[in-house]
Amino acid sequence: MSMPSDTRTYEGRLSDGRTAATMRVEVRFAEQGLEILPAGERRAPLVWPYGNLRSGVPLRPDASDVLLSLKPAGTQTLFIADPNFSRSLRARASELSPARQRLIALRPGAMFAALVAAIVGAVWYLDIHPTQTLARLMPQSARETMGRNVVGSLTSSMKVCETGPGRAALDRLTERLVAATSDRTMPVRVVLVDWDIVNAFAAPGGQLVLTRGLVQTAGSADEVAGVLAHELGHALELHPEAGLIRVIGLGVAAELIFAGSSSTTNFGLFLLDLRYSRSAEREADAHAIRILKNAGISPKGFGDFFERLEPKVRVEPEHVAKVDEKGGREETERKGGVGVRLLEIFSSHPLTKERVALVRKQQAYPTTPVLSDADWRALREMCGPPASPAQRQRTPPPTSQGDRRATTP
Amino acid sequence: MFSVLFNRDPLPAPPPAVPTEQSTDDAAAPGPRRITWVPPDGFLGLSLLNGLLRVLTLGVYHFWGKTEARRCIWAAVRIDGEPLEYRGTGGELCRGFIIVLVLILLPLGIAAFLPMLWGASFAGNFLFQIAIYFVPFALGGFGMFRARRYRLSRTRWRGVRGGLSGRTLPFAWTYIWTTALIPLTLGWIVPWRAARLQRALFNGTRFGDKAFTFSGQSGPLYKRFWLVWFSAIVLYVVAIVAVAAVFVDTLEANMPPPGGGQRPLSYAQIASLVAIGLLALLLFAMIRAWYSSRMFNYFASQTRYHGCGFRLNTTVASLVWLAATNFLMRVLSLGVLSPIAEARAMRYMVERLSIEGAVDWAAVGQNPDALLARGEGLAEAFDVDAF
Repeated sequence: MSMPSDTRTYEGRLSDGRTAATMRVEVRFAEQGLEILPAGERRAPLVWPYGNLRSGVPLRPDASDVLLSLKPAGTQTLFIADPNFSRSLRARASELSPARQRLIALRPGAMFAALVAAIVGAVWYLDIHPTQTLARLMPQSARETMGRNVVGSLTSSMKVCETGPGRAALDRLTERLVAATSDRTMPVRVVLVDWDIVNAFAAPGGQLVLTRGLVQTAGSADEVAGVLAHELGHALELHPEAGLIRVIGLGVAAELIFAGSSSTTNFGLFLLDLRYSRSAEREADAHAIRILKNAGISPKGFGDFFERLEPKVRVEPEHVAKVDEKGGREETERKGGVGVRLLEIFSSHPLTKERVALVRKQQAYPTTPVLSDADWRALREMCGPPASPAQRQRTPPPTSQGDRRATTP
Repeated sequence: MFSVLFNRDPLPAPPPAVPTEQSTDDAAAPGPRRITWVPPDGFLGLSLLNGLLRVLTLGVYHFWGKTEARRCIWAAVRIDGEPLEYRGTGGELCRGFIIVLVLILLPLGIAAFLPMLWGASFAGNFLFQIAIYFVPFALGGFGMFRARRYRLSRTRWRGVRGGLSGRTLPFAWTYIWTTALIPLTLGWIVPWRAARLQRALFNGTRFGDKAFTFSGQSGPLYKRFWLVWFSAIVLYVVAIVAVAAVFVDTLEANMPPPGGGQRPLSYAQIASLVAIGLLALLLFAMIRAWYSSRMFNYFASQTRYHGCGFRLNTTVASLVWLAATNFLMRVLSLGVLSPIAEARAMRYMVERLSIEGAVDWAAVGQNPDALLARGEGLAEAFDVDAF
């Protein structure tokens, strides 16, 4: 190959690596490499082949000096403070340039990224659920402990309604649903908290949480039964456990990648979590329909409840604001996202239609009311008297399409 | 003091406006400066590119990017006109990190969840978490020593290697018990501890086959420390009184509403609270820098290498400025600009350090220590490599 000829002699300093002394040398660009010889002496020069050179820092085009040694383990060093020398050297040893050095340094990272991409692709393509598999490996006692911790942190600042005939009614409702599941031995605990947002959660280990807002918004016990059956579906599929494992795993990975800049990664994890939960919602819905059928409960309430929620969410997304006002609640909400399947509040629109269609598709079967009127009243008043009439008016009954259009902008 | 150069120093803070050649610290040192700083080129681009590549490689490039930044920072330091050379590799750092990840971080992470799984009581869980929290603290001295040894062994000048002799465990043990005594002595052990750790690190530091010696005592440090200690207490009391004053104002200005309950804080009150906090923090930083500056300068003056001594001229204002601006730079850029912050810290030390006396370089032979195979895993994992 042709390279710009440079016949000048440069002045440099050579150290032999045995002591920290230095000697003045003359350096020339020769065909086979750099020729180095002590200044003013006539003897055979040292020859450093261009391909074996290492520079102290990647050699930039505007470098004013360069420190050279021989690969792999040379202890001699040559220092030349002359921009002309650096330019000529770059033409002969292009692998010293920053771009080339960076390409070499990038190899392990690129291989790792490719490996991760391949694994993620395989998991996605083969439809494997590694987190669910891990969740199944956990002993039941561990799941329950985890669930108690999650529910505990969620309800730490709130009253749990535990007393009176309402509790007995809730237990009867729960028993009827659990008896209709595919896994009758599953231990289930349902907790009703005095919280005015409309929500329900499934935490690990069959720990389910209902809010007062939900029970008092529901139009009938069938609607509550539908929501509970849905949450039971999550519990049967181990979604909360899998979610917890996924969030921990992704959190560790993000911590390693971004080394601590956690505010941005939290947001990313939040989005990932939400996206994943849509397929989980469908699975839970399928369970809910099956459970309701086995228990002889009408699935209509299930569809009604989500229809009832939808306009409320779209017209006045204020229950989100309510959470903010109460300060500490926001943190609890966020924690709730970990290991707790939120009801589809944020993305209810497409799923609600799907749910209603699912319910309508069911063939009729003989049903009985899920709770007596007295039990239903007891359940609604478990946390005290129901909301004021003014508040009740905000939730339109899911009667006719006309009604709904009136409240939807 | 040679090896001050090889450390990422947590405290330094360069004066923005002091031009290299005009610094006042070499007034007493006639002749050309023996140690100088030649600013590295393209460091901003390097920082940004490293940040980007780190994300694209899912974090793995971190070690290689860090290595490239170090090569540039080392090369910017010139002693008698010739650059330092950093010969570490990204692969070494990465291997060190993986070992720590597998042997320490993963077991710790799993252990942190065990009480949750076995259903321990609240108190048991709490004790367990505390125990886990103390593991990094206990390994701090270990990591610090190993990281320093690694960096020194990868540093060359005129082809001659640095090094750190001595064993890791005694140092790690000293680090643990002196740290544990800080709260028990209400902080009074701090200067003594600093001198003791410095002695352990610098008496073991070598360049080539010659060792550094450090003869510093803690006595001179206490002359400033007691004032720092008492001013911290005074500052604390004054801050509390100031905060109380803000609230008393509230009571006088508008008595609680008749129905009981509390009025929310006004914006003016919140602003005053923030101002009090920031002012107290700044004042404390100044007082601490007044102590640290003395400590750095004194430690340098007590360090010798093969017939030459060192003089360091850090000042309070410049230290506070460097620390504050470097902190902001790291935080606001989410860590992307930390190579620049590291370069600034190094530049600060180099430009304020002078070497006094001649060194017979021909008498300094190559360091016979065998090279360590791995990087600074622990320090990388727990961020303790600064001293």
